[in-house]
Amino acid sequence: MGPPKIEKPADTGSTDCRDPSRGKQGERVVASQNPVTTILKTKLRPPVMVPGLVERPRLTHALQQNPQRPLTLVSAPAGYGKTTVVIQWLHASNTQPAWLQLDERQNDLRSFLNHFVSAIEMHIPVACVNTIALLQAAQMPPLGVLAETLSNDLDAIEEPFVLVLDDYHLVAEPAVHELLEDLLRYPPRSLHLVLITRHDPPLSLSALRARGWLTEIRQDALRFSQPEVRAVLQEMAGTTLSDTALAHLELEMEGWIVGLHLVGLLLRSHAEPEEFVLSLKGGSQQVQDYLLEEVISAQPAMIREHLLKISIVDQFCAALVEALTRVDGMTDAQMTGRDFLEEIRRSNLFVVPLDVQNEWYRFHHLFQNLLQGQLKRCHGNDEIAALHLRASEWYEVESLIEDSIDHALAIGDSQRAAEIVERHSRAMMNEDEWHVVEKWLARLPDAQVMNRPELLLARAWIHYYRLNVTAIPPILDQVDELMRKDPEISNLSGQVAFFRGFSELFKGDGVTSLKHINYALEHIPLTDHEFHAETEIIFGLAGQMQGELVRVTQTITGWLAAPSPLHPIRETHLLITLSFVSCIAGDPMGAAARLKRIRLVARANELEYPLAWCDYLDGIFHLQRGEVDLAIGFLKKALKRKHSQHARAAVDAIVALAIAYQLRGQTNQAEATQRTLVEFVNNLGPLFQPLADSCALRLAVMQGQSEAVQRWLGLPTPGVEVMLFWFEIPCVTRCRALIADGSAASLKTAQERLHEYAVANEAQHNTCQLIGMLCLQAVAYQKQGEQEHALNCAEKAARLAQPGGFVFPFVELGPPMAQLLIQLRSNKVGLELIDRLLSAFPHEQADSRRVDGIEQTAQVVAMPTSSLPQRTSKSINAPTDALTNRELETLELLSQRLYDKEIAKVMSISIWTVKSHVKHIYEKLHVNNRRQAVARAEELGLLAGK
Amino acid sequence: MPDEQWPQIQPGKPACYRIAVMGRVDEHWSGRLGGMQIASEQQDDQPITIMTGQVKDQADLIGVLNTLYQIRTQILSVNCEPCHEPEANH
Repeated sequence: MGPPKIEKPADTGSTDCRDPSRGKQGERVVASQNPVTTILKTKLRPPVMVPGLVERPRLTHALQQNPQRPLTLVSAPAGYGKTTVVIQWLHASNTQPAWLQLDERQNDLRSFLNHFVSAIEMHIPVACVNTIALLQAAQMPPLGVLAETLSNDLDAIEEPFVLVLDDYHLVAEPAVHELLEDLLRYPPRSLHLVLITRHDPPLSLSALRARGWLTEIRQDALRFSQPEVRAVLQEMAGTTLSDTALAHLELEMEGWIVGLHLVGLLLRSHAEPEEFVLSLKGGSQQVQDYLLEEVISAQPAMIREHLLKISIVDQFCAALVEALTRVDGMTDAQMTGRDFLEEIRRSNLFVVPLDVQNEWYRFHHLFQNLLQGQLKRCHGNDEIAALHLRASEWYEVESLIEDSIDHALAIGDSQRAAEIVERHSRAMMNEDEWHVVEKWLARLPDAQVMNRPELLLARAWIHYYRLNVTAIPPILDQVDELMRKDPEISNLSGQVAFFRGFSELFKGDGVTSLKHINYALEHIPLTDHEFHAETEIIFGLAGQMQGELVRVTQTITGWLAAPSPLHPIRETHLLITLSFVSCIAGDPMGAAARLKRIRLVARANELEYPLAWCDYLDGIFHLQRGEVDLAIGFLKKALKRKHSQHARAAVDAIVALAIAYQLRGQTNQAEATQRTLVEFVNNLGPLFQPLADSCALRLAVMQGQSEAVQRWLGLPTPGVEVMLFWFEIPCVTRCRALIADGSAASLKTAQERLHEYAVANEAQHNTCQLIGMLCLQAVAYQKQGEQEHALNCAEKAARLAQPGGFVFPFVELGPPMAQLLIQLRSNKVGLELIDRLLSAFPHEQADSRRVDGIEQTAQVVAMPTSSLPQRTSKSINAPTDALTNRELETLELLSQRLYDKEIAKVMSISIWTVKSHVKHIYEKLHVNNRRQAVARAEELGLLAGK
Repeated sequence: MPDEQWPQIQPGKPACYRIAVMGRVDEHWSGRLGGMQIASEQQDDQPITIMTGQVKDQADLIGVLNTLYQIRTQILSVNCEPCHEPEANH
């Protein structure tokens, strides 16, 4: 199993984020006000409305017609003025939209969603907190969970808003389409989504059409009519053409605005406009090429040269123009970048301004393509390669790394690309943006990575974060090999030592681990705070394993008391490490006190990850102390945060919750929690399956389901691991099952294994787990009839448990343990804890086991497990209480995406009554939100419209 | 189909198509394939799927082809056909 990892989550992406130097994953926003700051924002803002556009009321009217519809599709080939029409409509209806300009980089779900929620949060701050929390997970939750969460976040937005996704055809990732498909199945009430695309998206458009939920603007509607053509040419060139010429132009251009625009540019200087227009023949493609050549060759030589050179970049600002066009390192004295931009804007050369500050522009896509074609014809490959290199260098200096890599790879310079990643990966890792580094690395050829220790180690860290620890050792060997050849690179030896120390710790070798870790602490600079903090955790755990609790605690407390304020990541790391070691040392309450401080620091810095750890740790600490109600409260919170938590801890929290319910006799809740666990683990992959299986087994043992226990015992024995503070450890639960089985052979096996684990935990100074082993040993001895050994073990366990108040390891074992404790008390063992322990047992358990009979048996059978073949399956169809007529009416209106306010109006009742109806509907349908309510109502056939 | 029978396609106007792909395409995809009708056939022991229907324009058609690409089908043929039934797309 993987290590506990404390990671810093990505920024919330709200516009007023605390630290302006940190942006979303995949982007770094530089603090100072420079062009780079604006270029990142341009993706999330609509293009600027340029003056002098011809108004197209028939289209803006069509778009305005039904603002209630969840989806508008603007689908037509390039050059039909799709984006412009949307901008005009938004302008006319005085709507400030949320906007996302897509590009090929949003072609994975995480990146797409990050941009999606950033676009919305630019517009409505903190609207998507729950979705953002999920996006911080090392492993993304399943699509259904993401869609559900996003939908609920959006549904909670009170005011209607428009979200435009421009150039949606660039999305090739099926998961993104699935997400939108899911979102549009029960569209959030506030959302009006606009997709601008060159071809229809793979969404169920027919279904949306049939429901009247789709507004479409297509090629036929976008083509410029004769009066519009007239207006365009009038505006651009001040020319009025005859009806014949206009009709000819319309026929040749098919209402294609880019073509008309080219004509307009040429007509400005043409002496015989009519003749010129009538001479255009041969279909739009030929006309387009011809017109373009004309337009470009009509430019002054210098402008033309600049246009060609700039066509290699997708957006440009004055500084980038200068970088690309300077001659022999000299900036052009006659024309600065700003002059040039001014000039091409004035001549209306298909430049699209991207921001209101007039810093960044792009060419119209078609124009850019045509310029690139000309560039290839007029310039040699060497010259073009040199341009890409300049672009790559400029982007790197401006920290736009992805673009810098793009241009290096565009000319096949994978060496330069690798060097760029090498120079910037560590800073990114320190910002906890390892997903970004992962994407960079994926673009490099393996041969480049294999010879670069920095990149190899970045790979190792990514495996570490993904809990894929078996992949790390071969990488370390490769790094060692490289270091032998080149002693210069030994500055990375600290990181190698960290991984070695980490691996030794999980082999249970604290001495060797500490040796490596001490070396790592000396050699990893504090500025690499992410790596350093991970090392400090292992330092704490390895030191504790060596019995150096006091030294470790003092050292870490010393670090925490440093005069200069600590980075919040490091501070929370250190505090959590202290909680880990106190818990392992058998003092959970010492740990609990620190959790308060972690929560303060984490809340002040909006760090989700340490908060998830706090919920989990508070949950298991209270459970261990027998404070079951408190524990359940915390563990339920931990369950909610499961996707942002370290996977091992998230799984452990769910197991603990199931067991806690079972301890309270709430079998139904325990089973439901187990089902949640199975679902969660299925998404995580095979690594955590043993834990889900183990939870099922442990429940079966607690419920006295001997047949189920037997079946589990047929499966292979789980491996032994370093147990730390984990609540569920599969190899230990296997011993619980052997004891429950109770045959002589089973008891013997259990004793042997428990002895081995007890010895290991004692050697590792793990009091927390040792208590558990001793309790199990005691019960096993008792079953073997060795009363004296049993009492010895129980007494030893109780002595260790007293300082920290551990209760749960005893109580879980039920009546046999209760009998041993009663015996200990009558033997006058002077332990205050024994009374407390005995009072913690449920009364019924002191003499006989409580069994709910048939109902319990049925539940166990229905329990889903993927490792054990199921005998029968039982669907969980909770009965639905009948809804009142008013509630049914409300439900119907909910399904029509009406707001509470609107529902109140339609039903002529107060908004409070609506809210109360809604609350009752949720309760009766056993759902938590509108989306689930509508889906459930559809299943049950409660909706009239369906 | 001989050339002279090809229907006239107007830019930006609806047209009818017949698309053949290898393997089976489940009917539930119809909604994401522009509402085209989906039928399975056997040809030389190979299952093939025929989709027929009216698309709104070329952007719609490319959307349909792109969806077929996304669900990893191998496209055998794409043919423009006269629209026999006025309500081919119901």
